[in-house]
Amino acid sequence: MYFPVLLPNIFSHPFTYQSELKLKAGDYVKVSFGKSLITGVVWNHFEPKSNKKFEIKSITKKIDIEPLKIETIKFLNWFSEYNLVPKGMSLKLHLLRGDVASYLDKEEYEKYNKINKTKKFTLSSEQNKILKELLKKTNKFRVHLLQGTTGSGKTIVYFKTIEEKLKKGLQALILLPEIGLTCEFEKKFNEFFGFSAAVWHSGITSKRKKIIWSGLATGKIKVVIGARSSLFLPFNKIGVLIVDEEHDQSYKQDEGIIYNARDMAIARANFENVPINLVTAVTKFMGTFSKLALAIAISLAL
Amino acid sequence: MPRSGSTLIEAIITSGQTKVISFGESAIINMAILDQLHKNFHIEKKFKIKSNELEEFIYNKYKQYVSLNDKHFVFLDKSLENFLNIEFILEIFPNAKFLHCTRNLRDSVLAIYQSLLPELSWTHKLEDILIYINNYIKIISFFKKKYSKKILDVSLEKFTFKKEKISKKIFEFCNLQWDLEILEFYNRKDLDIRTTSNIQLRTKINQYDDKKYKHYYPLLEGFEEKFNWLLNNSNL
Repeated sequence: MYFPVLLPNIFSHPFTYQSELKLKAGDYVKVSFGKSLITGVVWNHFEPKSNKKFEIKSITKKIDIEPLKIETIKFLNWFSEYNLVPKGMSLKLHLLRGDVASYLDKEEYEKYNKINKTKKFTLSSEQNKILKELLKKTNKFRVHLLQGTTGSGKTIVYFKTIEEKLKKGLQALILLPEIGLTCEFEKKFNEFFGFSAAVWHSGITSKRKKIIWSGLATGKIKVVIGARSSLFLPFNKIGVLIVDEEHDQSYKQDEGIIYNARDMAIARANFENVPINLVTAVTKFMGTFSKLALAIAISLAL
Repeated sequence: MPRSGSTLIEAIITSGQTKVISFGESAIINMAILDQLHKNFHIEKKFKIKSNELEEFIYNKYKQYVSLNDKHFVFLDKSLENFLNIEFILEIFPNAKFLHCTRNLRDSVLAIYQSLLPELSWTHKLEDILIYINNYIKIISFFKKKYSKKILDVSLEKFTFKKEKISKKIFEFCNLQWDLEILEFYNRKDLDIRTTSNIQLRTKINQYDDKKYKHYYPLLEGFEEKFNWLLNNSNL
């Protein structure tokens, strides 16, 4: 049988390979490309027909890891179209230096599942009112803008929305603009939830990245606090996305692949059909306008 | 236009032996004009910009950053709106020269669209970009005829293939002393560029990739009739 395999390189189309294996869209595979053996993903469409004549190579092997979800494949396809990025380069954002992380021992994820004592947080009536609103129809895509002055208690309100999702066995992603903010934030997170979230940014070790990547793919890690790039992680069952300090300009990536992580988070929430909470202390007309334009663009693409 | 190589040219000009201060995209000149316009926009009869006020505003703003006492002081301002204000700039700075950075217009449209420039609202929709560029073409073409000796076209594509030859031409046009080191601007530690292009300036100049946006040309289909310059598939 023939399979389309997208590779993490400059090409915008998948390459055709053959295999006797039983494969489906989302399976990670090893294939030979040129002189190297590289990791690719069985994609959801073939390369558009062309008159090119080529030898069809065989898939070397299927990698034993949870397949990439079809929603994520659709998101990466859309991401490429929207940002004028070759699909292979979008896949590269998802992989770990062009590779995947296999299953690891249970102990590797212990840090993220160890329950400690939590601190009690009581919500004010205003916070409760907002929380009620945020928890309405949370089983599908909704965009909320949680706006309030610094110190008004927005974090605790959205922690509560995450808590609801965790009770259902779902995962959460909290995007932060500056990784320098994470220390204090992690402390607050631990006090509230009693366990550690996985922290994802360019500065963490490749070993730690492998643990987080596989932990999310297998559902063994529940919450990620991350910078822009965490948006492309293989969440197995994402239930809610949070974009803290959503007004922050540093969500816009200018190096290499240009994209606005805040806007792309909304798109990913849409493809995953889960709610997203944008959190800010700043009111910004342009932000609201761009979100509206993005919502229209996504609805047209679907 | 944004993404046409102006940041690269800025880096080269400020890397020569003659000290050239760059104000980047200061928008000072445009601010000075808007300052007068906004006070008078409600007046129905024709309104003329007052040169003396304009000059005072601009000099005061620049003076906040540098001393303008040196008569041989050379500076560079790569504000986007310069193409609109050529006449005013020449009135205030009669020795001013304009480096008009160009690139394949199709690539230019798509590169701007791809960049999601947060401070330029017209860069977020293809049709808005096309309208903006259409107006820009009319304006710059008019000024190029009127001030042909003051404006030098610098094609990004040609520059990346013939760096030495074209950089010499630029330096000659600006009455600056050229040397080979300017092409190694990426070794400078003091290079502080604040535009989307700053990343590209940390490495040597790569040859122009004319295939980079070809895959996305179909996005421009349907616009050629209204914006027929798209059909030329070339620079301005």
